[in-house]
Amino acid sequence: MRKMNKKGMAGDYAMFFVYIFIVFIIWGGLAAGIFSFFGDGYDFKEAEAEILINNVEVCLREKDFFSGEFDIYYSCGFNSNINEEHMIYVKRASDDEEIIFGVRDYINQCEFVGGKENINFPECVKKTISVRGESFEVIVGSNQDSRGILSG
Amino acid sequence: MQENLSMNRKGDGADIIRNNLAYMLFFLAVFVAMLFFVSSRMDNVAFWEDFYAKEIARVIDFSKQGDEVKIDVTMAVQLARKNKVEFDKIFIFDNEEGSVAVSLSRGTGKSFRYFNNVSIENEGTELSEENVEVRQLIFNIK
Repeated sequence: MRKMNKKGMAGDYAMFFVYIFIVFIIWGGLAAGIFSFFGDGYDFKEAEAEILINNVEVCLREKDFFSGEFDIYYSCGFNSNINEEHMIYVKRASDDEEIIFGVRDYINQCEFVGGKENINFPECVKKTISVRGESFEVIVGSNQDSRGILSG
Repeated sequence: MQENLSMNRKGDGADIIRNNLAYMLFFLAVFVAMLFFVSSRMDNVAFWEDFYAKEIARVIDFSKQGDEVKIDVTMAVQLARKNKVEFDKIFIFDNEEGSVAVSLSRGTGKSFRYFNNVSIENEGTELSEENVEVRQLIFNIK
């Protein structure tokens, strides 16, 4: 009789792995559902690049970016923090002279087709602006995301 | 035979309870963990911290010196109140760094930098004049 009981118990114990498997499936589904719904965060890079390029356009219409003493932070009223996660590229069409502020490598990353689907790449906005009879190609890139902080 | 059968039944009963007790305890532990996980995600505090920090930065980037800004922050204040965050620690502006930090749960928050070189003054929250249910964040751009 004891032997028969042991065999029966072994079947019960084997079901434990099935139970664990089902629990993991449910947990995995729940976690995947929650992260797919909330996980991406609030993407603001493109919107920020749009605002920045509009501000650059306003500034470009008022100031000469290609004068020797030009300081974009002072002249356009930008924070120096845009140096770290943004790029402003301006190219004068008449002589192909170009000027870049911020992260210079974004000019390559903006052109990289594979970067469009990658959230780690900057979002870029391009515009051609005519000012005082001259044409300027402007590219603005933003790769800024919010940073987690510890608050009191 | 009859005696053996009744003895077996008693034995099986005790074994079933003992075996199922482990299942039930495990199920309870998983269920409680699930409830905790889902309830902590239901508020979605991290998303709203991110959202408010970026939207406030967007408004600052659009604004000019001399503007007075009013933003509806009712939901943020309700979440912060639920999580026992002190009122004056929900929105913190850092004029030196040019950033706004939003904290809707104790100990954590999200910070975002604006590119407009302005300073934020006289920040505070107050009830809307039109609707007392609406809480507004008010600040001046200098």
